[in-house]
Amino acid sequence: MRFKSKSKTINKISFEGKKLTNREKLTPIAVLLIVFISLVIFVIPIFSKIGDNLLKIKENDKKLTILKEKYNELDKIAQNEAAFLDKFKLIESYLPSQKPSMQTLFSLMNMARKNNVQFSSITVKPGEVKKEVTAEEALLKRDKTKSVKIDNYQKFEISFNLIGTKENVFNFINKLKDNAPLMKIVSFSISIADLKASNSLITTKLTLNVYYQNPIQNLPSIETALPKLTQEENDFLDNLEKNLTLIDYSFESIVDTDKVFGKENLFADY
Amino acid sequence: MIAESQLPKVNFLQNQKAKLLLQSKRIYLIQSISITVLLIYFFFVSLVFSYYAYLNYKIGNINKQIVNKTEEIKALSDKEGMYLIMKNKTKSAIEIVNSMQAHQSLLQAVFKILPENISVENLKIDENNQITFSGLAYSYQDIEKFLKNIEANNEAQLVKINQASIENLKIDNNNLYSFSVKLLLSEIKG
Repeated sequence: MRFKSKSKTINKISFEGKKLTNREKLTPIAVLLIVFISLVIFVIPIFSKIGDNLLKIKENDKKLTILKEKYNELDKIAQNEAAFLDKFKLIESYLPSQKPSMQTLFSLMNMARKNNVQFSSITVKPGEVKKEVTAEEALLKRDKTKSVKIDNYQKFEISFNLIGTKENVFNFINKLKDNAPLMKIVSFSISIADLKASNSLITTKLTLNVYYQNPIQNLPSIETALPKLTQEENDFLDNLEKNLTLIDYSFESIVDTDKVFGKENLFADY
Repeated sequence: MIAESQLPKVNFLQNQKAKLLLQSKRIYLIQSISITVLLIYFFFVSLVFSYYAYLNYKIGNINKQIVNKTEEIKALSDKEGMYLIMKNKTKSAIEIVNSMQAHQSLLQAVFKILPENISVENLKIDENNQITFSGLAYSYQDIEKFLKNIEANNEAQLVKINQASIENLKIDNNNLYSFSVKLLLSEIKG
């Protein structure tokens, strides 16, 4: 205690009212110089780099979160691939990627057969003819921007006559909405002579718009989040799954291949 | 004469020694403080550098994860494309079906006001909800009934008819009345 108090007194005496000599100033000046130079050369740039890094981390964290979410969504799809493919095929049949001229004809013919109506005088107005991008081509292109180029849906017109009983014709019209591809009646005519007798055959001329939509023309950049299906879209797909009648367009389903006509062996004798 | 005992004791060497002691103490204190400050500063600088190194490591780590996830997503590109196609098509299909349902409701409302004995030809409905058709009837009463139904509809407001016109009314040798109808509809109550 005594020593401490003595030392304090000496310190007080040694500094009180005295200016530092040049020799005494040397060390603090050297320290200040070292601090100042290192601040300018190392510390300040490091602080600015730390600021940049923190920003970069924030951005990359955000990017990583999006990527993780996107991957989880895609992984979920991949795990339930069968269910996803069913839904994809369903919407692809309902709103095809390419102009569904043949599908429409097959679908209408099939419906006509099921509803006992005759289907005739078909006129197809193909609409705009342009090169269509296939889904496979689109998937090879990944845009660096976040946007996805989407073609709005397109349509073409088909008109035909239906001959059948009033009930069968109206059944046919009612079932149009549950058949693929997506069709919308834009015009129809029913003649009066036939309407007077309820059981006689009537002729109806129907004009339909048949819809299709080219696939997306590119994939967005990897960092773009996957847009989620809304509740309305999910409900729509579920509803489609329950109500849509899909038609097998294979040759075997249309032509009865068991009945072989003509010669099986061209060189066989008569 | 002053006696020796009366003379003040002056020891220059001791004073000089004390002065030097104080000076060296000052220098020691100044140097100690300076070095302590410098050490604290270096400690702080090393903390800053360590933090910078840690951030660099963290960035590297995140970037590595980003690269891995990117590769994993690239491997699922076909699924992503199919999903986006499905999403866009569903959106468009809903749009078309909604417009189809709106048209259907309008058509149903029109059929409600159309008497049974009037037949319809070339019925067309456009995007502006304008319905046009040619009508055929065997009696004028059916046409009259149709007009009354339009008036009654305006009271009941099944469908809002903004404009209705019956044009080109003709009668042929078989007493068959033909006419063309144009209805501009806008909304349906309920």
